[in-house]
Amino acid sequence: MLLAATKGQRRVVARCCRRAREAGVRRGMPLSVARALFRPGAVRIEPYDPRGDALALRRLAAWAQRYSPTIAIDDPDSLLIDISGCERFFQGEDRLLALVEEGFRAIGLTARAAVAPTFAAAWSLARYAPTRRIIVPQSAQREALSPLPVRALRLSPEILQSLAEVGIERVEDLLALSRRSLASRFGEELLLRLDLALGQAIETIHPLRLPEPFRAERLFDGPTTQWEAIELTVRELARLLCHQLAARERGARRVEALFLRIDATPITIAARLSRPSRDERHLWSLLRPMLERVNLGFGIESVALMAPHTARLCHEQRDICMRDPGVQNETPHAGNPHAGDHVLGELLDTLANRLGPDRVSAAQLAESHIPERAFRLRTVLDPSPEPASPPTDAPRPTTLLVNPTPAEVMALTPDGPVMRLRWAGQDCDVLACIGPERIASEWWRGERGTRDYFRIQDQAGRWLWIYLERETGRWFVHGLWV
Amino acid sequence: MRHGAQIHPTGNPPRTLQDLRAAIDAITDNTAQALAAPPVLTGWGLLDAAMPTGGLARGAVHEWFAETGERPSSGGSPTPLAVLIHLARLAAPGADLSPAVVWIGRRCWPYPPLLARLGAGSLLHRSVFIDARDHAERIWAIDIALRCPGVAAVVGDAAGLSMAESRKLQLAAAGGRALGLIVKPVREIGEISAANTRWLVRSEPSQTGEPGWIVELLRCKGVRPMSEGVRRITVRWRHETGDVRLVPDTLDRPAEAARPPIRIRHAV
Repeated sequence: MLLAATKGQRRVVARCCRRAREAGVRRGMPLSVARALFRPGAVRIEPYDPRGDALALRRLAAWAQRYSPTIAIDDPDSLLIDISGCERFFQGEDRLLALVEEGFRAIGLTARAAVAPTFAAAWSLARYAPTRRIIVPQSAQREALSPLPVRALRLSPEILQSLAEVGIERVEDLLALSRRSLASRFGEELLLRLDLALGQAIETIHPLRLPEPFRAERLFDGPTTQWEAIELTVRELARLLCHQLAARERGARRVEALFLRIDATPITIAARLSRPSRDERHLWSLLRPMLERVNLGFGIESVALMAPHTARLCHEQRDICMRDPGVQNETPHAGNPHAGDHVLGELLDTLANRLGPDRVSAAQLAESHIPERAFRLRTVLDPSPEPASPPTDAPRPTTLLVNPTPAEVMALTPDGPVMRLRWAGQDCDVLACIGPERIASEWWRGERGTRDYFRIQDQAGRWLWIYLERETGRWFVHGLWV
Repeated sequence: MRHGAQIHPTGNPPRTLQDLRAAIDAITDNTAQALAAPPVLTGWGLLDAAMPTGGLARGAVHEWFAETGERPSSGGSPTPLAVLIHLARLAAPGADLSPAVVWIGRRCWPYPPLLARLGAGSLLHRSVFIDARDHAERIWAIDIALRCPGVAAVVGDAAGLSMAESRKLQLAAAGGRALGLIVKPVREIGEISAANTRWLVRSEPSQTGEPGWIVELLRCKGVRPMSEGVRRITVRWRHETGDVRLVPDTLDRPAEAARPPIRIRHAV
């Protein structure tokens, strides 16, 4: 596999996998040259996306917090994990290392890991050590670092160049020389790197700080089966959650309530919202019908309310006169231009959470001239704006039958104007027949079947949209103008 | 004028017909609705003038029946979608995302690409399609959609609506600003309901290439039954714009006698 980047006008190889490197591909090589090294079809080329990679590394660091709370990202492809104190929890450093490797393998990544007293040493050992899993205690640090090449010390290219000129290839050669001569010949940076690796200088890392999840919970004094207590608690938690959301200017798109039951598995109820909201009244109105269906079992010990999925929701000006909940005809956000959108969002949330998300949908035009595929229905809870295709100008019926109904037709010529029609048990005399409008199938998908559409009027004045399937010669009724 | 003295709340007897009308309106609460939101003008000539609010009142429920003169094709009578699309577009002008138009019940769903091409503001972006599992859920959905201030028009399938439910829907509509258009099968045409107006749409043969219908206002709350010339009009559907336009009377008028009249049986 190769990752290709565009440099100037040409496409060059930015990264390659191990097999490609063995075959002779190098970074910076033009893509066409690299492709020539393999037989066609053997290499897969993807665009190089450093930003996406950085984001993915961040997510990986968040996932790796299960091993230690202090993790730093070292671009472009390593994580520095501080496990001081954590090995006791995992019953030993080697067991922790094994878990880390297994964990990464389980999500599909190959990781090289090493444990050492300093970050710099661990960095070097993970990359350049001959064996895979290395745990180096404090005493053995010098010997472990010695056989590594000098590249392992994270030196700048100039220093590496000058070291290569002199013929120093391994760290042990460097350690053999005196510090003063090293400083005078190669500069302070080399000494600093050596000290960092050996533990004589302290290296600081910047651990990743993840934002706190939105969560509010309450523990009861003992298991309870009283509905009023649970209802009151959930309402109060909703109020607290909305305060947390307001403090960070976010609105919830998904709200989950977790009930820990005694002597039974926990129950979760979830509500999805079409627009971010931090209105506690609205969240309560969505959770309440679901709450009534929760099986309390032998009692609830604690309730936790979380908002796992949130989106930005800026503060907005409320009206000067606050809404009075007692009055029925009041429009709550009268002066606010976004108000209509808010109340509509609340209506859609209520409908979608009670009827089911796939029963409340919005339609979008699709890029197809086949009538039944010219639109797509999508649930309102996942709005994804799609590019709008211009609609066709030809006459279309007001309603389309879900499945085209076969019809028997009496016509002057096999593909000509229609005189009589028989469908769904009715006989119709045709007063007018306008057409044909030919709609071909989507041949690029491998489909066959051309349809000739006609608009016909029966003796009652009703207009039908029928078509003739040219390949089979069968007639169908597809739509009506009602 | 002693009767007048008893009716009028402030005690002054009404002097003129205007005062009397105002007194009656204060009791029946018609003007409150008319002042709340402008009515939807259908654009169908004399019908608009004949209705007390000058058009279809918002914040009220209007019933629609459709009949084609033939046995219906597959279970249930058709819905007058062309007319309803036209009215929904008039009720929700503008190109923003809200106010929205809500279509409840699969029988009331129009063909979506048609909504994209109508007039200046496309209805497609503002339409929400709702499919309910049973009658109770459908009525509940119509109810809460009517109450929402962000909804301009609700087109719902209300087959099997009882009198109590229709009263509840009318109250829900009065609490909001939406134009409520509910569709019922033609076999329920005799049942009493609390809707503001009641309409019947029948298909009509036309000589031009466009579908035509006869739209008839059967009943309007607060208005005496009108003469046939006023309450029954012929309209045509324009393919390009999706308008339903009034047909000038001088053009084709097929023989009325050939069609059997509809018999309305009132439930006792």
